[in-house]
Amino acid sequence: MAYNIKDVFYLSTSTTITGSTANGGSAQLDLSAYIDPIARESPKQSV
Amino acid sequence: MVSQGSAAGSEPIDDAEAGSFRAGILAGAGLGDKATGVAAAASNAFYATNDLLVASFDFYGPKSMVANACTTTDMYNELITVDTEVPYVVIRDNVCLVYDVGDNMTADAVLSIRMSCAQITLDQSTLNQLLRTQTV
Repeated sequence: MAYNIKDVFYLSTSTTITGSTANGGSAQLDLSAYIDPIARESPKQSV
Repeated sequence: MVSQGSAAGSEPIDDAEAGSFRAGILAGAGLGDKATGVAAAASNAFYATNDLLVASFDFYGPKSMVANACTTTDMYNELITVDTEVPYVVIRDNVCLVYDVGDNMTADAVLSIRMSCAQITLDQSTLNQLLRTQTV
């Protein structure tokens, strides 16, 4: 699948895994700036 | 990518590292930034049956299997990988880099990822289809 170069970007993040420590961890990337969920429609004209 | 912790700068993993962990990218997990030992992903988060798992790999430190009969596996074992022919479309407002420690790491390590992304436009029916298929 080909993409326009203007629509392509890198997203990166990192986290430190602490030594001698059990269980897990996480680092979150917020994508809300890249999402436009509102469908745009032209307003309907009423007669 | 796994590097030695901040005290060692960007050095590769030391040969004395005996830890292991599984890491992955989960769409919409909403876990925030959590230090080691704080966040626990759901027990099935890293299974292939989790449609919100974008990519994952296992890490085994060079010294993690010395006592075992078999030789050490590769340090990185990729499990779920992104397919270039069938792209994974993230339809959540966040992705989380999540890891679960198997054997405690000998020293601090920095886990980092970089994703090549493309912003695409979806019509309503395609979005609905993705919502149906990418639901846990």
